[in-house]
Amino acid sequence: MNRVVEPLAFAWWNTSLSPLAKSRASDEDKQIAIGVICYLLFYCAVDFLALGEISADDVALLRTLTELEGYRIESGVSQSGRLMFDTCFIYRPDRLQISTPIEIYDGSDDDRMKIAQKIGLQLIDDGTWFSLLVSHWPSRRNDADRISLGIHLRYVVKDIIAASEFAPYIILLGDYNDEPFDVSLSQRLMATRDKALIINKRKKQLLYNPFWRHLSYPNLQALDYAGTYYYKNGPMTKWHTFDQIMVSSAFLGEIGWALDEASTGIIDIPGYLQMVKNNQSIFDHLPIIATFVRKP
Amino acid sequence: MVDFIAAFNKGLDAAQIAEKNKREIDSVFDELNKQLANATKGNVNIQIRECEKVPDFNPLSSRIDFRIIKYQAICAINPLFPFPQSLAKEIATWSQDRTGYPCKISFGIKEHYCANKVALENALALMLQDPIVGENLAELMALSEASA
Repeated sequence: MNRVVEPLAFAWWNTSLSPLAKSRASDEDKQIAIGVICYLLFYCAVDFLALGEISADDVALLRTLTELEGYRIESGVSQSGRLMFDTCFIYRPDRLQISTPIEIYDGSDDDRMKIAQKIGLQLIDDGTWFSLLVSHWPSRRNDADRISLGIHLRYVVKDIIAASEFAPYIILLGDYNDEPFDVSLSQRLMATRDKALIINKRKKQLLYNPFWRHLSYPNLQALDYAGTYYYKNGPMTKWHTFDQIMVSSAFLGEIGWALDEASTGIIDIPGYLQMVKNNQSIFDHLPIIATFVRKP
Repeated sequence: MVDFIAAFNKGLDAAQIAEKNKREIDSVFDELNKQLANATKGNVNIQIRECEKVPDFNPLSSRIDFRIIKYQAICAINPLFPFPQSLAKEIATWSQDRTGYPCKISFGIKEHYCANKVALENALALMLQDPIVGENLAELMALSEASA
């Protein structure tokens, strides 16, 4: 008889506290951030939370919090030349064990880019391995070659698939500063909206991007948010869906771990949305979540 | 009907591109070795070699894995001291696509994907700047000093 394994929840939040790992937040901002983190961990029952725009000081602060006792905090803050990884990972060590994050770059020098951080993650309950690729791509105001970012992230996915005996569980999450429909993600990374194409046509190499569903207002009465990132000077839209979680085809199979799409999306935390839409606030991203269930 | 001749011609073209890319990659390593030989008086040479390892121990696994994993690595040797062979220092892992590019160089907690010659040259330069790699190369050079 198969043992029942609890669902597994992954979340991403670009905190806006310390862009490029340089602290800019006031004490009040930090308290708000701690509130959001606690909401995600306790109310949303997130098992693995990846945070963006975090500095080494922010990681040190998180490690002092009694609220986070029982969680492990792994710093992803790292500098290589002019490039900076500004991430942090909070997870439940009673459920997960993780490998040291590997930093992935494209090789060229002058316009060298950070592609992702790769983390191997094993679920203690049943021993399943997951490969996590956490990305925070450069801003669109920066003239980074976005097509190349997508091509290189696909190389990484291809390598993980090639090295795996069975169809691997790959989860990609982060702030791509690109929308699901942009060429970098939809064409080069090959993250499709068409789940049926993957399942019925056996296009196993494609990724599935459930955030195609989150391009517009979920609530047509409230018209409260229509994406994950709020840019107050947007000429055509103030909302963008730059934060996304994408998964490999293994999560769409008949057996094993499966994406629970009903519990995947943008998290609207009471009171926080007003801060995101407030021009005086440093916060401009909503958190996102993806939940996975184990099929019997 | 499937156009097999078009597919065949495509394969020939791909083979030519792969051959050109592999020659280009070899030329990058040749240039690297030429410069290293000058700087170290012939004491350091970089090669791509096939290596073997056992899988990492996994305490959560219900079985012990006895397989031997083969992989390619960038190794440094001191050609003036060819024996014992175990003195080859593995300084990075290496992999490349069937068409040559992309190739990947991994060392420490970094992986560099190289889609062309310039990217490969720069990734190799970054590898040489790594302190652990530097330590390994210094040990190889020290062989000459020890025997002098």
